[in-house]
Amino acid sequence: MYYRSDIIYVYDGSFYGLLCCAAESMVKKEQPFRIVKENDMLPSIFECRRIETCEAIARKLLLSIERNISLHVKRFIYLAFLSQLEDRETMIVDFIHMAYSRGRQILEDRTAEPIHTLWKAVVNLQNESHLFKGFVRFTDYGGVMVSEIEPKNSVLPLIKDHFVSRYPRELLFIYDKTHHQALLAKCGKGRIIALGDEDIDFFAPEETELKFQELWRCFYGIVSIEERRNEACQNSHLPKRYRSSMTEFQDHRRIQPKARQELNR
Amino acid sequence: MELIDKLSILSGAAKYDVACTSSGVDRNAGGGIGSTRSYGICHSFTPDGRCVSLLKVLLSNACIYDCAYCVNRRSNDIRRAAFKPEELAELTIGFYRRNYIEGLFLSSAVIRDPDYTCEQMIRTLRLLREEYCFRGYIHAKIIPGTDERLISILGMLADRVSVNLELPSNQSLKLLAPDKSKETILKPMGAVTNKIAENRSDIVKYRSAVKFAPAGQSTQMIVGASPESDYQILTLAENLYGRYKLKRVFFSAYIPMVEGKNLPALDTKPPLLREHRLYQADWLLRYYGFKARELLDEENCNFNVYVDPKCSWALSHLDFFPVEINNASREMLLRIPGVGVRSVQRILTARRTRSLDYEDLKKLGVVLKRAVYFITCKGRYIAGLRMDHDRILNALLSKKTLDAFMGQGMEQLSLFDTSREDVLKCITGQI
Repeated sequence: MYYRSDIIYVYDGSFYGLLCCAAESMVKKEQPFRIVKENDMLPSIFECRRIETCEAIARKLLLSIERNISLHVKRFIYLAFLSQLEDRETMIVDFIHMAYSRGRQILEDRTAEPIHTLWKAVVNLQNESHLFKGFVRFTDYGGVMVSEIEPKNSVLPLIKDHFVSRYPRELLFIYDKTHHQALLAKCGKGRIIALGDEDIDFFAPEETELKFQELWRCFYGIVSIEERRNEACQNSHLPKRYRSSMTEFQDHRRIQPKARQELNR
Repeated sequence: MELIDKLSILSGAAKYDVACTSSGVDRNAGGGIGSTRSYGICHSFTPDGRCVSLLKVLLSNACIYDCAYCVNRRSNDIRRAAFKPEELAELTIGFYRRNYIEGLFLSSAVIRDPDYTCEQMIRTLRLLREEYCFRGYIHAKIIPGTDERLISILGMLADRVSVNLELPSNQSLKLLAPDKSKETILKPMGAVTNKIAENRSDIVKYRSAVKFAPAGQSTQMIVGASPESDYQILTLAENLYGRYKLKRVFFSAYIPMVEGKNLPALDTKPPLLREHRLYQADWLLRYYGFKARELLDEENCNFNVYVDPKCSWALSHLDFFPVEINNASREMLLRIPGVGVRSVQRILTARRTRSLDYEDLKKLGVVLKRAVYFITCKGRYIAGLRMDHDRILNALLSKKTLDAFMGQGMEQLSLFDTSREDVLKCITGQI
């Protein structure tokens, strides 16, 4: 049914951009060999075609998926896009083609490819975003609650509603170092913005903030029961890669030498 | 006294309380601060592998009671401290804003009398709920002997309440906690059960009805300080789930901290494995449709040290097996050793579109190590399955217990009255 597959699509890396790729491949009856972000493009023997992102086309496709297949499939596509899966774009476009021919039952057939790989990536994303609901730590910088995280998947869209509805009175800023995105929230509304590649330097937190951090470290240090020590169990629930951004595992003298100096002055 | 000293004394005194769950109720912040999620959220994990979800503290550790097993007992010479309600409320909000915690777990030693203690707890919770508009999770402990009117106020402020059962039988209570009795513990528990039931119908009738303990009630008991068998403990738990509609029953392995003539010696190791088996069985009761009677009886009144309760059940009911993955009922799938609730759900979903093979099960994330001896796919056992002793032992025992079984660490395990031959017979005899 496909006319050709010796082509590479190049898109801008956004979700709408990917949907436009899917729309293009359906209209032209092509199955692209690969779909790559414009930044990741490498010279190739295949023909490359740049797919322009058009919001109208993307929305139309989403509406069509929702009406003709199901809401779950639409959501699944979005989640798969947020996951950390390598080469997910190509698989998602394959999946969309398949979903149109097989209908809503496609999600039940989890052992067939590419659904199985995508599904595993989605589960991984959902698990990680659940963990981050607990593992995010805010630092109070003069009324703005700031947090830095290093997730593997893009979890921000999945934890947005949770944090926005939990702290409607606070100003929140959660910075995703891996994907250079940030969640901004104010007055019960939140949005996600893209940031540049450079790291953000924060200024020194205030005295009360340091006091609360100290209290928390004290509490954390005390509640463990020595007779039951079981670090393997701790490691499986709280893998070490999450710990660098969590207050209880930080020694503030080591982490924020600048902040200490300024305080001492 | 500095706040940090108080915190270290009062959280140190509360850490032996087991419950740290924040599940069971969904609520958003409204105009205040905080929300709760029915699935519960863990915020950290301590080196003992337990989750930190709530700020678990005592309001005070100056107790008038003298329970033998407790660090806070009157006759123990330790530092005493108490939070002012304002201090504790500010601390809770400070922690909560920084997303350190999911809410507050408030317990207390008995100051003056149970009613006075409860009033102090109510003051703290009022401050949080009304002044700070705190909408996060609150777990409050009810002290046996508290007036029912105070309990109903406490329940309106908290999401979950609990009365500690402390010890699994009345005789043990008399011996180790002379100030408490079965009646004083079960009375408030029953009162809470009735209040919850009453409140659930009020919520339907009146829009303005305030929810009473929307996340239900729980309890906990100490295992290993007194001579009860696993069967007695599990039956007790089953009755509590049935009669008192408890959400959770927690077990805590006894850690000797004080010397007492009626207590195990100070160098006794906490019976962690026994506690683990009880929790496994507890899960079987709540999610797998097992009854206490199926797992244990008067003759086999303790759990097998080497294999988990489900495996042990399967080995003594081999006539139910093998189970055919593609057409067995949900109930039967749940009884396969090594297959959990989530795996069963995945099997049920996936087999709607095609019949499953072992490769498919692996893809679904079903752990086959133990299960292969008990299942067939499309009528066949897995290719190359060999039923010899070493393999089955390897599959059914965890690495740790296998090492113990092969000779190391037998001293600790021989506390339980199962001989090596019994286990061998149980594991390999019938297959």
